[in-house]
Amino acid sequence: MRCVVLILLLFALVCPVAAQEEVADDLFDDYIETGEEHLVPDPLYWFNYGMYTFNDKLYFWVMKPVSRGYGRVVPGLIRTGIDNMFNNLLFPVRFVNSVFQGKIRGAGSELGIFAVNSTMGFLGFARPAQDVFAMEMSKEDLGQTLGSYSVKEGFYLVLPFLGPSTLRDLVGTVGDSFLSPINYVTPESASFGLRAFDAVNSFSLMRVGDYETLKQAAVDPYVAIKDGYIQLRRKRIQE
Amino acid sequence: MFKRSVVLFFVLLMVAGPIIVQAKEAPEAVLKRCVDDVIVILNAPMDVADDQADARVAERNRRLFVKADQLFDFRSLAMGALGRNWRRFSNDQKTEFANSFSHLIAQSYFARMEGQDFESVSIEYLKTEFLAPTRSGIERADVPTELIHNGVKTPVAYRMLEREDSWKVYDVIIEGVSMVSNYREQYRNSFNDSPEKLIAELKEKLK
Repeated sequence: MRCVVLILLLFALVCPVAAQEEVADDLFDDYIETGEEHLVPDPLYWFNYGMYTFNDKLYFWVMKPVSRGYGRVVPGLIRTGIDNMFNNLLFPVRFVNSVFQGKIRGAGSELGIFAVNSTMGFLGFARPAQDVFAMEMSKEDLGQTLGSYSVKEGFYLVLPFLGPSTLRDLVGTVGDSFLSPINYVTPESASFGLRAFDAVNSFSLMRVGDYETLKQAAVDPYVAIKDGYIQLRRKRIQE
Repeated sequence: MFKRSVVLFFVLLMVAGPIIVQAKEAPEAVLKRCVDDVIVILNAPMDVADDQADARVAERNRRLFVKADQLFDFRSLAMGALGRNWRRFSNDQKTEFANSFSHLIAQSYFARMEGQDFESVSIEYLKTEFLAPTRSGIERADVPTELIHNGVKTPVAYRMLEREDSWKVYDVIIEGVSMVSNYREQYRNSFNDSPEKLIAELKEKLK
Protein backbone atom coordinates (compact mmCIF):
# COMPACT_ATOMS: atom_id res chain seq x y z
CA MET A 1 0.00 0.00 0.00
CA ARG A 2 2.71 2.41 1.06
CA CYS A 3 4.48 1.56 -2.13
CA VAL A 4 1.53 2.75 -4.21
CA VAL A 5 1.44 6.04 -2.33
CA LEU A 6 5.13 6.48 -2.89
CA ILE A 7 4.85 5.85 -6.60
CA LEU A 8 1.98 8.30 -6.88
CA LEU A 9 3.93 10.89 -4.98
CA LEU A 10 6.95 10.40 -7.17
CA PHE A 11 4.80 10.69 -10.25
CA ALA A 12 3.30 13.94 -8.99
CA LEU A 13 6.78 15.31 -8.40
CA VAL A 14 8.13 14.31 -11.79
CA CYS A 15 5.14 15.71 -13.68
CA PRO A 16 5.95 19.44 -13.43
CA VAL A 17 9.53 18.76 -14.50
CA ALA A 18 8.40 16.92 -17.60
CA ALA A 19 6.15 19.88 -18.38
CA GLN A 20 9.18 22.13 -18.90
CA GLU A 21 10.47 19.95 -21.69
CA GLU A 22 11.64 21.48 -24.94
CA VAL A 23 8.98 22.49 -27.45
CA ALA A 24 9.30 21.00 -30.92
CA ASP A 25 11.27 23.19 -33.32
CA ASP A 26 8.41 23.32 -35.84
CA LEU A 27 7.28 26.30 -33.73
CA PHE A 28 9.11 28.57 -36.16
CA ASP A 29 8.18 26.84 -39.41
CA ASP A 30 6.06 29.80 -40.46
CA TYR A 31 8.91 32.26 -40.02
CA ILE A 32 9.40 32.38 -43.75
CA GLU A 33 11.19 35.72 -43.69
CA THR A 34 14.46 33.87 -43.62
CA GLY A 35 13.75 31.95 -46.84
CA GLU A 36 16.21 32.87 -49.60
CA GLU A 37 13.48 34.11 -51.96
CA HIS A 38 12.40 36.72 -49.41
CA LEU A 39 15.83 38.20 -48.92
CA VAL A 40 16.71 41.65 -50.13
CA PRO A 41 20.19 41.47 -51.70
CA ASP A 42 22.94 43.81 -50.60
CA PRO A 43 25.33 44.10 -53.55
CA LEU A 44 26.61 47.50 -52.39
CA TYR A 45 27.52 46.13 -48.97
CA TRP A 46 30.79 48.07 -48.62
CA PHE A 47 29.24 51.38 -49.66
CA ASN A 48 26.26 50.70 -47.39
CA TYR A 49 28.44 49.73 -44.49
CA GLY A 50 30.41 52.95 -44.92
CA MET A 51 27.21 55.00 -44.96
CA TYR A 52 25.93 53.09 -41.94
CA THR A 53 29.11 54.03 -40.07
CA PHE A 54 28.82 57.64 -41.28
CA ASN A 55 25.20 57.91 -40.08
CA ASP A 56 26.12 56.27 -36.79
CA LYS A 57 28.83 58.88 -36.14
CA LEU A 58 26.52 61.64 -37.37
CA TYR A 59 24.00 60.51 -34.78
CA PHE A 60 26.40 60.44 -31.84
CA TRP A 61 28.62 63.39 -32.77
CA VAL A 62 26.19 65.85 -34.36
CA MET A 63 22.49 65.08 -34.23
CA LYS A 64 22.33 63.94 -30.62
CA PRO A 65 24.24 66.87 -29.04
CA VAL A 66 22.70 69.50 -31.35
CA SER A 67 19.11 68.33 -30.88
CA ARG A 68 19.70 68.00 -27.14
CA GLY A 69 20.94 71.57 -26.89
CA TYR A 70 18.06 72.75 -29.05
CA GLY A 71 15.64 70.77 -26.87
CA ARG A 72 16.92 72.53 -23.75
CA VAL A 73 16.29 75.96 -25.23
CA VAL A 74 12.97 75.41 -26.96
CA PRO A 75 10.02 74.09 -24.90
CA GLY A 76 8.57 70.71 -25.87
CA LEU A 77 5.16 72.15 -26.67
CA ILE A 78 6.61 74.43 -29.33
CA ARG A 79 8.81 71.70 -30.79
CA THR A 80 5.79 69.40 -31.10
CA GLY A 81 3.87 72.23 -32.78
CA ILE A 82 6.68 72.86 -35.26
CA ASP A 83 6.86 69.15 -36.01
CA ASN A 84 3.10 69.14 -36.63
CA MET A 85 3.46 72.06 -39.06
CA PHE A 86 6.16 70.32 -41.10
CA ASN A 87 4.06 67.17 -41.07
CA ASN A 88 0.99 69.07 -42.20
CA LEU A 89 2.95 70.40 -45.18
CA LEU A 90 3.56 66.83 -46.35
CA PHE A 91 -0.18 66.44 -46.95
CA PRO A 92 0.25 66.22 -50.77
CA VAL A 93 2.53 63.18 -50.41
CA ARG A 94 0.06 61.28 -48.24
CA PHE A 95 -2.98 62.36 -50.25
CA VAL A 96 -1.60 61.50 -53.70
CA ASN A 97 -0.22 58.16 -52.56
CA SER A 98 -3.50 57.22 -50.86
CA VAL A 99 -5.26 57.93 -54.17
CA PHE A 100 -2.65 55.96 -56.14
CA GLN A 101 -3.27 52.99 -53.85
CA GLY A 102 -7.03 53.26 -54.29
CA LYS A 103 -7.52 54.17 -50.64
CA ILE A 104 -10.27 56.68 -51.28
CA ARG A 105 -11.43 56.77 -47.69
CA GLY A 106 -7.85 57.34 -46.53
CA ALA A 107 -7.40 60.14 -49.08
CA GLY A 108 -10.64 61.71 -47.88
CA SER A 109 -9.53 61.72 -44.28
CA GLU A 110 -6.14 63.20 -45.28
CA LEU A 111 -8.01 66.02 -47.00
CA GLY A 112 -10.18 66.50 -43.92
CA ILE A 113 -7.18 66.53 -41.56
CA PHE A 114 -5.36 69.05 -43.74
CA ALA A 115 -8.39 71.35 -43.95
CA VAL A 116 -9.14 71.22 -40.22
CA ASN A 117 -5.55 71.49 -38.97
CA SER A 118 -4.54 74.25 -41.41
CA THR A 119 -7.42 76.44 -40.21
CA MET A 120 -8.48 75.53 -36.67
CA GLY A 121 -5.00 74.22 -35.90
CA PHE A 122 -3.21 77.49 -36.78
CA LEU A 123 -1.42 76.39 -39.97
CA GLY A 124 -1.00 72.88 -38.64
CA PHE A 125 0.64 73.84 -35.33
CA ALA A 126 -2.07 71.98 -33.40
CA ARG A 127 -3.81 68.79 -34.47
CA PRO A 128 -7.51 69.19 -33.65
CA ALA A 129 -8.40 66.74 -36.44
CA GLN A 130 -6.63 63.93 -34.60
CA ASP A 131 -6.98 65.12 -31.02
CA VAL A 132 -10.60 66.28 -31.11
CA PHE A 133 -12.18 64.56 -34.10
CA ALA A 134 -10.17 61.33 -33.75
CA MET A 135 -9.25 61.20 -37.43
CA GLU A 136 -6.24 59.05 -38.26
CA MET A 137 -3.33 60.16 -40.41
CA SER A 138 -1.86 57.55 -42.74
CA LYS A 139 1.82 57.10 -43.44
CA GLU A 140 1.58 56.55 -47.18
CA ASP A 141 4.49 57.35 -49.48
CA LEU A 142 5.54 56.51 -53.03
CA GLY A 143 7.76 53.60 -51.97
CA GLN A 144 4.68 51.93 -50.47
CA THR A 145 2.59 52.78 -53.53
CA LEU A 146 5.17 51.06 -55.76
CA GLY A 147 5.24 48.14 -53.33
CA SER A 148 1.48 47.83 -53.53
CA TYR A 149 1.90 47.55 -57.33
CA SER A 150 4.14 44.51 -56.61
CA VAL A 151 7.39 46.37 -57.33
CA LYS A 152 10.08 44.51 -55.37
CA GLU A 153 12.68 46.23 -53.18
CA GLY A 154 15.47 45.70 -55.71
CA PHE A 155 18.41 45.89 -53.34
CA TYR A 156 19.27 47.38 -49.98
CA LEU A 157 20.73 50.88 -49.74
CA VAL A 158 21.96 53.03 -46.89
CA LEU A 159 21.79 56.72 -47.76
CA PRO A 160 23.89 59.38 -46.07
CA PHE A 161 21.70 61.45 -43.66
CA LEU A 162 18.53 59.57 -44.65
CA GLY A 163 19.46 56.10 -43.41
CA PRO A 164 18.17 52.70 -44.58
CA SER A 165 16.36 52.46 -47.92
CA THR A 166 16.06 50.26 -50.97
CA LEU A 167 16.26 50.98 -54.68
CA ARG A 168 12.45 51.08 -54.82
CA ASP A 169 12.17 53.33 -51.78
CA LEU A 170 14.86 55.67 -53.13
CA VAL A 171 12.81 56.10 -56.32
CA GLY A 172 9.86 56.76 -54.00
CA THR A 173 11.76 59.34 -51.96
CA VAL A 174 12.85 61.22 -55.10
CA GLY A 175 9.31 61.12 -56.49
CA ASP A 176 7.77 62.28 -53.23
CA SER A 177 10.22 65.17 -52.99
CA PHE A 178 8.38 66.79 -55.93
CA LEU A 179 5.25 66.83 -53.76
CA SER A 180 6.97 68.38 -50.76
CA PRO A 181 6.35 72.16 -50.67
CA ILE A 182 9.57 72.82 -48.76
CA ASN A 183 11.59 71.74 -51.80
CA TYR A 184 10.04 74.62 -53.79
CA VAL A 185 11.23 77.27 -51.37
CA THR A 186 13.74 79.64 -53.00
CA PRO A 187 16.59 80.32 -52.68
CA GLU A 188 17.98 76.80 -52.50
CA SER A 189 19.85 77.59 -49.28
CA ALA A 190 16.60 78.52 -47.51
CA SER A 191 15.04 75.27 -48.60
CA PHE A 192 18.05 73.34 -47.32
CA GLY A 193 17.99 75.26 -44.04
CA LEU A 194 14.34 74.45 -43.49
CA ARG A 195 14.98 70.77 -44.08
CA ALA A 196 17.88 70.75 -41.63
CA PHE A 197 15.75 72.58 -39.08
CA ASP A 198 12.96 70.03 -39.56
CA ALA A 199 15.48 67.23 -39.00
CA VAL A 200 16.89 68.70 -35.78
CA ASN A 201 13.43 69.55 -34.50
CA SER A 202 11.95 66.11 -35.08
CA PHE A 203 15.13 64.53 -33.74
CA SER A 204 14.70 66.41 -30.48
CA LEU A 205 11.28 64.78 -30.11
CA MET A 206 12.57 61.27 -30.63
CA ARG A 207 12.84 59.10 -27.61
CA VAL A 208 16.52 59.36 -26.85
CA GLY A 209 18.03 55.95 -26.40
CA ASP A 210 15.97 53.91 -28.85
CA TYR A 211 18.88 53.68 -31.28
CA GLU A 212 21.34 52.93 -28.48
CA THR A 213 19.12 50.13 -27.17
CA LEU A 214 18.76 48.65 -30.62
CA LYS A 215 22.52 48.61 -31.02
CA GLN A 216 23.13 47.24 -27.55
CA ALA A 217 20.63 44.39 -27.95
CA ALA A 218 21.82 43.42 -31.43
CA VAL A 219 24.40 40.77 -32.20
CA ASP A 220 25.05 42.45 -35.57
CA PRO A 221 23.62 46.00 -35.58
CA TYR A 222 24.04 46.49 -39.35
CA VAL A 223 21.94 43.40 -40.12
CA ALA A 224 19.50 44.21 -37.30
CA ILE A 225 18.77 47.63 -38.85
CA LYS A 226 18.55 46.24 -42.38
CA ASP A 227 16.11 43.50 -41.39
CA GLY A 228 14.12 45.86 -39.16
CA TYR A 229 13.73 48.34 -42.03
CA ILE A 230 12.67 45.65 -44.53
CA GLN A 231 10.15 44.12 -42.08
CA LEU A 232 8.69 47.54 -41.25
CA ARG A 233 8.27 48.52 -44.91
CA ARG A 234 6.69 45.18 -45.84
CA LYS A 235 4.24 45.52 -42.99
CA ARG A 236 3.28 49.06 -44.06
CA ILE A 237 2.78 47.96 -47.67
CA GLN A 238 0.55 45.13 -46.50
CA GLU A 239 -1.72 47.55 -44.67
CA MET B 1 -8.76 2.83 6.70
CA PHE B 2 -6.37 5.71 7.13
CA LYS B 3 -4.00 4.40 4.50
CA ARG B 4 -6.84 3.92 2.11
CA SER B 5 -8.00 7.49 2.48
CA VAL B 6 -4.46 8.71 1.88
CA VAL B 7 -4.29 6.69 -1.31
CA LEU B 8 -7.70 7.94 -2.31
CA PHE B 9 -6.56 11.49 -1.69
CA PHE B 10 -3.56 11.08 -3.97
CA VAL B 11 -5.59 9.36 -6.64
CA LEU B 12 -8.04 12.23 -6.53
CA LEU B 13 -5.19 14.70 -6.74
CA MET B 14 -3.81 12.94 -9.78
CA VAL B 15 -7.18 12.95 -11.50
CA ALA B 16 -8.22 16.40 -10.45
CA GLY B 17 -4.79 17.95 -10.97
CA PRO B 18 -4.95 18.11 -14.75
CA ILE B 19 -8.50 19.49 -14.56
CA ILE B 20 -7.34 22.32 -12.34
CA VAL B 21 -4.48 22.97 -14.72
CA GLN B 22 -6.92 23.02 -17.64
CA ALA B 23 -8.84 25.92 -16.12
CA LYS B 24 -5.86 28.23 -16.47
CA GLU B 25 -5.69 31.87 -17.42
CA ALA B 26 -6.33 33.04 -20.96
CA PRO B 27 -3.20 34.30 -22.79
CA GLU B 28 -4.15 37.98 -22.60
CA ALA B 29 -4.87 37.62 -18.86
CA VAL B 30 -1.39 36.17 -18.24
CA LEU B 31 0.17 38.95 -20.31
CA LYS B 32 -1.78 41.72 -18.63
CA ARG B 33 -0.99 40.41 -15.15
CA CYS B 34 2.75 40.24 -15.83
CA VAL B 35 2.92 43.60 -17.64
CA ASP B 36 0.98 45.26 -14.79
CA ASP B 37 3.44 43.78 -12.27
CA VAL B 38 6.36 45.09 -14.31
CA ILE B 39 4.85 48.59 -14.45
CA VAL B 40 4.35 48.57 -10.67
CA ILE B 41 8.03 47.69 -10.19
CA LEU B 42 9.08 50.40 -12.67
CA ASN B 43 6.87 53.05 -11.11
CA ALA B 44 8.17 52.51 -7.59
CA PRO B 45 10.01 55.75 -6.75
CA MET B 46 13.77 55.47 -6.53
CA ASP B 47 16.04 57.95 -4.89
CA VAL B 48 18.87 58.27 -7.36
CA ALA B 49 20.92 60.59 -5.16
CA ASP B 50 21.17 57.78 -2.64
CA ASP B 51 24.68 56.36 -2.26
CA GLN B 52 23.16 52.89 -2.57
CA ALA B 53 21.50 53.78 -5.87
CA ASP B 54 23.50 51.18 -7.79
CA ALA B 55 22.50 48.41 -5.42
CA ARG B 56 18.87 49.47 -5.68
CA VAL B 57 18.90 49.49 -9.46
CA ALA B 58 20.49 46.03 -9.40
CA GLU B 59 17.83 44.78 -6.99
CA ARG B 60 15.05 46.24 -9.13
CA ASN B 61 16.52 44.70 -12.27
CA ARG B 62 16.66 41.36 -10.52
CA ARG B 63 12.96 41.60 -9.68
CA LEU B 64 12.19 42.67 -13.26
CA PHE B 65 14.11 39.69 -14.57
CA VAL B 66 12.14 37.28 -12.36
CA LYS B 67 8.94 38.74 -13.83
CA ALA B 68 10.26 38.60 -17.38
CA ASP B 69 11.27 34.99 -16.81
CA GLN B 70 7.69 34.17 -15.77
CA LEU B 71 6.24 35.77 -18.87
CA PHE B 72 8.78 34.82 -21.54
CA ASP B 73 9.73 31.38 -22.78
CA PHE B 74 13.36 32.38 -23.24
CA ARG B 75 14.43 28.94 -24.43
CA SER B 76 11.95 29.00 -27.30
CA LEU B 77 12.90 32.61 -28.05
CA ALA B 78 16.56 31.60 -28.25
CA MET B 79 15.65 28.64 -30.44
CA GLY B 80 13.80 30.91 -32.86
CA ALA B 81 16.63 33.43 -32.84
CA LEU B 82 19.29 30.86 -33.74
CA GLY B 83 17.18 29.38 -36.54
CA ARG B 84 18.89 26.44 -38.18
CA ASN B 85 21.96 26.96 -35.99
CA TRP B 86 19.97 25.60 -33.02
CA ARG B 87 20.37 21.97 -34.04
CA ARG B 88 24.16 22.29 -34.05
CA PHE B 89 24.14 23.11 -30.33
CA SER B 90 24.45 20.42 -27.67
CA ASN B 91 21.89 20.43 -24.89
CA ASP B 92 24.27 22.22 -22.51
CA GLN B 93 25.19 24.75 -25.15
CA LYS B 94 21.50 25.43 -25.80
CA THR B 95 20.97 26.11 -22.12
CA GLU B 96 24.04 28.31 -21.91
CA PHE B 97 23.05 30.25 -25.01
CA ALA B 98 19.43 30.71 -23.87
CA ASN B 99 20.67 32.00 -20.50
CA SER B 100 23.05 34.58 -21.94
CA PHE B 101 20.53 35.54 -24.61
CA SER B 102 17.80 36.24 -22.05
CA HIS B 103 20.23 38.37 -20.06
CA LEU B 104 21.33 40.33 -23.12
CA ILE B 105 17.71 41.21 -23.94
CA ALA B 106 16.91 42.01 -20.32
CA GLN B 107 20.05 44.12 -19.82
CA SER B 108 19.46 46.17 -22.98
CA TYR B 109 15.83 46.90 -22.28
CA PHE B 110 16.24 47.51 -18.54
CA ALA B 111 18.90 50.11 -19.34
CA ARG B 112 16.41 51.68 -21.76
CA MET B 113 13.73 51.91 -19.06
CA GLU B 114 16.05 53.75 -16.72
CA GLY B 115 14.73 57.21 -15.91
CA GLN B 116 11.62 56.85 -18.06
CA ASP B 117 8.24 58.10 -16.96
CA PHE B 118 5.88 55.15 -16.98
CA GLU B 119 2.95 56.94 -15.35
CA SER B 120 1.90 58.25 -18.75
CA VAL B 121 2.07 54.90 -20.55
CA SER B 122 -1.22 53.23 -21.30
CA ILE B 123 -1.68 49.85 -22.94
CA GLU B 124 -4.78 48.71 -24.75
CA TYR B 125 -5.28 44.97 -25.16
CA LEU B 126 -7.01 44.11 -28.43
CA LYS B 127 -8.76 40.87 -29.29
CA THR B 128 -6.60 37.76 -28.94
CA GLU B 129 -6.24 35.79 -32.12
CA PHE B 130 -5.69 32.05 -31.73
CA LEU B 131 -3.37 30.67 -34.41
CA ALA B 132 -3.52 27.19 -35.87
CA PRO B 133 -1.52 24.77 -33.68
CA THR B 134 1.84 23.65 -35.07
CA ARG B 135 2.23 20.18 -36.59
CA SER B 136 3.52 18.91 -33.27
CA GLY B 137 0.39 20.25 -31.60
CA ILE B 138 1.58 23.41 -29.81
CA GLU B 139 -1.29 25.84 -29.21
CA ARG B 140 -0.44 29.43 -30.14
CA ALA B 141 -2.04 32.84 -29.84
CA ASP B 142 -1.30 36.42 -30.88
CA VAL B 143 -2.20 39.13 -28.39
CA PRO B 144 -2.18 42.48 -30.22
CA THR B 145 -1.83 45.57 -28.03
CA GLU B 146 -1.46 49.28 -28.53
CA LEU B 147 1.05 51.12 -26.42
CA ILE B 148 0.25 54.80 -26.07
CA HIS B 149 2.95 57.12 -24.81
CA ASN B 150 2.87 60.93 -25.22
CA GLY B 151 0.06 60.61 -27.75
CA VAL B 152 2.06 58.24 -29.95
CA LYS B 153 0.45 54.87 -30.61
CA THR B 154 2.76 51.90 -31.17
CA PRO B 155 1.33 48.51 -32.11
CA VAL B 156 3.01 45.75 -30.09
CA ALA B 157 1.89 42.15 -30.59
CA TYR B 158 2.88 39.30 -28.28
CA ARG B 159 3.05 35.82 -29.76
CA MET B 160 2.39 33.23 -27.11
CA LEU B 161 2.48 29.45 -26.82
CA GLU B 162 0.72 27.16 -24.39
CA ARG B 163 2.91 25.47 -21.83
CA GLU B 164 1.68 22.95 -19.27
CA ASP B 165 1.61 25.56 -16.52
CA SER B 166 0.83 28.77 -18.36
CA TRP B 167 0.84 30.72 -21.61
CA LYS B 168 4.26 32.17 -22.42
CA VAL B 169 5.54 34.80 -24.82
CA TYR B 170 7.99 33.58 -27.46
CA ASP B 171 8.07 36.57 -29.83
CA VAL B 172 7.37 40.30 -29.63
CA ILE B 173 6.33 42.11 -32.80
CA ILE B 174 6.73 45.90 -32.63
CA GLU B 175 5.25 47.83 -35.57
CA GLY B 176 5.34 44.66 -37.62
CA VAL B 177 9.00 43.95 -36.80
CA SER B 178 9.40 40.52 -35.22
CA MET B 179 12.18 40.30 -32.66
CA VAL B 180 12.78 36.60 -33.36
CA SER B 181 12.93 37.13 -37.13
CA ASN B 182 15.34 40.00 -36.59
CA TYR B 183 17.77 37.86 -34.59
CA ARG B 184 17.28 34.97 -37.01
CA GLU B 185 18.46 37.20 -39.82
CA GLN B 186 21.47 38.27 -37.73
CA TYR B 187 22.38 34.63 -37.08
CA ARG B 188 21.63 33.43 -40.60
CA ASN B 189 25.22 33.83 -41.74
CA SER B 190 26.75 32.33 -38.60
CA PHE B 191 26.55 28.76 -39.83
CA ASN B 192 30.31 28.52 -40.11
CA ASP B 193 30.88 29.78 -36.57
CA SER B 194 31.15 27.25 -33.78
CA PRO B 195 28.48 27.24 -31.05
CA GLU B 196 31.27 28.08 -28.58
CA LYS B 197 32.10 31.19 -30.57
CA LEU B 198 28.46 32.36 -30.70
CA ILE B 199 28.11 31.87 -26.94
CA ALA B 200 31.40 33.70 -26.28
CA GLU B 201 30.18 36.59 -28.49
CA LEU B 202 27.01 36.93 -26.43
CA LYS B 203 28.96 36.84 -23.17
CA GLU B 204 31.29 39.53 -24.49
CA LYS B 205 28.26 41.79 -25.11
CA LEU B 206 27.07 41.18 -21.56
CA LYS B 207 30.23 42.54 -19.95
